[in-house]
Amino acid sequence: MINRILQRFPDIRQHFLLIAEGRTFASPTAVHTVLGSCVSVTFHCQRLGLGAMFHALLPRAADYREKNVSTYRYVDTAVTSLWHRLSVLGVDRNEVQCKILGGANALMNDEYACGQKNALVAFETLAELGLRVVASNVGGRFGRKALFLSHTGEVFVKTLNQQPPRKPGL
Amino acid sequence: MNFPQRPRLLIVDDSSSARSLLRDLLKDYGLIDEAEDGRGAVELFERAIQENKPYAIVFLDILMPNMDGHEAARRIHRLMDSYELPEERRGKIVMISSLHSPDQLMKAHFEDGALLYLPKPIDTQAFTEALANLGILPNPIDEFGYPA
Repeated sequence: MINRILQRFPDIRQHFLLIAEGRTFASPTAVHTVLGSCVSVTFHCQRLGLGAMFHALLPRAADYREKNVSTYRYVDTAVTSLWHRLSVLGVDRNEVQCKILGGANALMNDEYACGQKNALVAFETLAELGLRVVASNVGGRFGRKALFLSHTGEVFVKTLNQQPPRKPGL
Repeated sequence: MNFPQRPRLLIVDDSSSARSLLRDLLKDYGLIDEAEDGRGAVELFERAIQENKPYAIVFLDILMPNMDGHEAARRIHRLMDSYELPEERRGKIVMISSLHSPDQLMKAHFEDGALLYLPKPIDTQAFTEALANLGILPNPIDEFGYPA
């Protein structure tokens, strides 16, 4: 489909970010994901044209004690791991801009708590690291479709109005 | 949400310079009204519902005299509930505040029902994205094919 983004950036790559996945993007990439109670955080450094994003399922790794799982399964370790990778690549914490999305409320009480807790842990971990949040789009009853342009830091979100998240895992 | 007509937008901030900045950013996209505090915002919001011309989006500061943004957002949601506005006519709340703590952000999103939170000073790119995400500007997601 011909569209404005492909017209602006004809060589842009595309990537669909899966649950428990986190990546840095050195070349222009349109990163797609779909979120329910899960949370994504995007990172962008304009000076280096670097972007990064993860899609995490659960709030804090220490609360689950699961073995042999991705560091990006949990919001707290996802934030710290991805920030560490960016800092190794030369990004200063004063020049990174973060955006938080997801964390929808689900219909059942325990799942409601999961989306809200995911968002809380994202805000808290970013604040502990001194990373600047320039926008957040979290909560609500409905899931979200998201598009992150890694080289510009732009994040576009569409609410999935007909599809409340019934269980964790998006 | 995409608006067939120019949407009604409500700017709420006790700072005249902040209201002026937002008015400049929004002037091409909708019919704008302003309030200086939460109490004025709630009054304007209810009047707009009664006139059958509800606001599509409320850009709401938090720290204001008389009634703060948290209380105003909750009252606006209660008004929409009591008038039984259908989902597509319910106004969206965008919090714009100099308060940056996780507690404030969580309160705005999960207690006040704010869809978006933009910390001051406003990042103009994030604001433009917000307009796309609110349906005021074209959203690239609508036209962007997903990877196979």
